[in-house]
Amino acid sequence: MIQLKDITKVYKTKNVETPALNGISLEIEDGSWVAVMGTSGSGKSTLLNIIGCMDKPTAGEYYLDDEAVHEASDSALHDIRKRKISFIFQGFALMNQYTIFENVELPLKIKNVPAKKRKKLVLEALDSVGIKEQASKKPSEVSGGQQQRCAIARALASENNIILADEPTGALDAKTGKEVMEILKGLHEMGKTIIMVTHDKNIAAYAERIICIEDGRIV
Amino acid sequence: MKLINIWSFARDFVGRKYLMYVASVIMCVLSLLLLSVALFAYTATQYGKQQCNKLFTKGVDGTGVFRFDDDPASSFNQEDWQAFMSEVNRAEEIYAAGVYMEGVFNYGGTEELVKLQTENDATIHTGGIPSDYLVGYDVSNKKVFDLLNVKFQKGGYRENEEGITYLYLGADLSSVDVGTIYTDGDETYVVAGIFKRGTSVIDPEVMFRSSDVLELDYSVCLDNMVLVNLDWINRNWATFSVNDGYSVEEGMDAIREIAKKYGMEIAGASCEGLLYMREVNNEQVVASTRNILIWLVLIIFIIMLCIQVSDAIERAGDFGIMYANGSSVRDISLIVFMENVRRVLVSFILWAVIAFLVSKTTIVPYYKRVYGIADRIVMDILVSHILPVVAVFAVAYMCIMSVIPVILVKRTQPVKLIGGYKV
Repeated sequence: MIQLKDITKVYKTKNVETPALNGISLEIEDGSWVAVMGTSGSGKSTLLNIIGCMDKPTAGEYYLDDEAVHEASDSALHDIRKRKISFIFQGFALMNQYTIFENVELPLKIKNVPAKKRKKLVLEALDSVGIKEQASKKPSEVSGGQQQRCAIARALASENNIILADEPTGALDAKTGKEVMEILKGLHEMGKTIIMVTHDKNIAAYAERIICIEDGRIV
Repeated sequence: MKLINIWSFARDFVGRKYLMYVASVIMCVLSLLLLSVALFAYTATQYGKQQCNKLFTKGVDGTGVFRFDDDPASSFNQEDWQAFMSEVNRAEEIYAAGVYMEGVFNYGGTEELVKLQTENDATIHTGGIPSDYLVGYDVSNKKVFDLLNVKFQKGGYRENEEGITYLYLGADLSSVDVGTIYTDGDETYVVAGIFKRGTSVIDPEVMFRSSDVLELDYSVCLDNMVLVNLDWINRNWATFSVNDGYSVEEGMDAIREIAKKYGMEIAGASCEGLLYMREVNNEQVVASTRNILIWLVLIIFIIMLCIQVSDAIERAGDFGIMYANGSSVRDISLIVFMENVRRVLVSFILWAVIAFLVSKTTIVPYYKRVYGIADRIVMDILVSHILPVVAVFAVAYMCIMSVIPVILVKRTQPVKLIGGYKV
C-alpha cells in the first residue's frame, strides 16, 4: 500500500525556488489502478518520481508497504525501487544498442536473477505482450507500439508489483495506444498496482480512480 | 548487483562500441609508451649511479680514477709503476688502488682460451664483459679486488709470481678447475679463482659511459676536477678508493704528491664528479626529451578525458535507464570502472609486449655497442623503474576516467538522465 502524507517538493536553483508539489496526501491500495491527470507543469510527473523513489520529497511522509521511504537513504531507495517498482516511459526508455530481449532482461540482470530463469521470464513476458518474434531485433528496428510493448514486457518480467507509467501512450497513435492500454489492463488483472500519468481522458478512463493535480495540489 | 553481472554489462558496453574502444586502447598504449621513453631517459642516469655505488666497495663517494702515462717512450717504466702503486696503496688516505684488465683479448694466443673465447664470443663486447661469461681477468694486485665487491665461488686471489699470470674466470666457466694451467709459448696462465655469479667486475670507465649518446666528455671532467691534459685522454686508468674520513680530493692530492717523486703527472677525477659531469653534459638533452614526452602524454590524457566526457554525456540516457530499472549509482560506477579496467588491462598488456620487443630489438642492441651488459641493464630499468610507474599511471588513469561518468550520474536527476520526464 502507498501512503503519502502532506508531501511537498520544491526545486531549488541558485536564487529561485519552484514549488512542484504542495501538501499532497494520498493512499493507493495494492492492486488498484490510478490515473494522475493534470496540465503540463502541474506536478504529476514529480509525484510519480517520488512514488517511484527516483526523487525525494522536500517535506512530508511517504510509506510504501509500511516502509518509511521519506527517511530512507539513497541505497535503501535504490533497493526499494529494485524490489517493488517498474517504470514505463512515454519515450519508451529502451537501450538502443541492446536487442528487445536484452532490454527486457535488463532489470533481471540487475536483480541477479540466474541466466536460465532470466531467459524463461523474458520469453514469457515477450510472449504475453505479443512481440516474442521481435526478440532479436534492436528497438530502432521495430515500431513505436512494439517498443512500448517491450517496455511493458520489461516491467512485467521484473515481477515488481507497482508499475508507474508516464504517458504510456503519449508517443503512439490512437489504435496502438489502445492496444497498449489493453496490455496494461491485463497487468492490472494480474494484480499489479498501476499508477499512470496522462492528460488524455480516454486513457484515464481505463483506471479505477482518477486523481487531478493542479499547481501541486490534488483538486 | 553481482560483480559477474557488472562485468557482463561492462563487456556489453565496450563490445557495442568496438571502434571507439580500439581507438582508446591505441591512445592509451601510445601514452604508456611515451611515458616509458620519458622515464627511461630519466632513470638511465639514476640507474647508472646506483650501479656504480654497488660496484665499488667504498661507493661512488669514496672512489676516484686517475690516468697515468705508460708510454714506453716516457721515463715511467714498469718497475717505477709497481713501486709507485705500492707506495700509493700504503698512503694513509688510500684504502686501495689498482689497475685491472678484463677479457680474453690479452690471451688470444692460448689455444684453450681461444676456444673458451669462441664459445662465449656472442656475449663478449669490447666495452665490457658480463662477469658470468668472463674468460680471463687479470689484476695487478689484491687491492683491486678490495676496490670492487668481488666474491669467489672457487679459489681466490693469488699473488703474482715470476712468469705466471693468474686468471679469474666468470661463473659460467665454473666447470674449469682452479689450478688449470694454460700455456702460450713462454707465457703460463693459471686459473686462480672462479667468480661468484653476478659479481661486478665491469670496467668503471664503461659504467660511466653507458651509451654513445650519453658519452662522457672526459676533457670537461678533467678540466673541472683536476688537470687539463688532452694528450692523456687515451692512456690507462687506475682506480682508487679512500679510507673513511678522507675525501677523494684528498686521496687524489696524496697520489699526486707520490707521483711527483717518480716524475709523473697524474690527472684524475672522483667517480661522483664523473657521473655528475655526465649528467650535466646531457641534462639539457635528457630534460627536453623528457619534457616533450611528458607534454605529449598529458595532451593524449586530456584528449582521452574529453572523449570520456563526451561518451558519458552520450550514455547519460543509458545510465538513467539502468538507474530506473534498479541499478544504484555504485553499480553504474562499477560498470564504468570495469570498462576502464578492461581497456587499461588490454593497453597494459599491449604496452608490456611492445616495450619488451622494442627493448630487445632496438634499445638493447643500441646499448650493446658500448655496453656489454645491456640486456640485464635495460630489462632491469624496464622492470624496476618503468613498470611500477606505468602501472601506477594506468591505475590512476582507470580511476580518473571512471570518476567523470560517476559525477555526471550523481549530479543529474535520474529522470533527466532518461530525458523522458518533464517537471
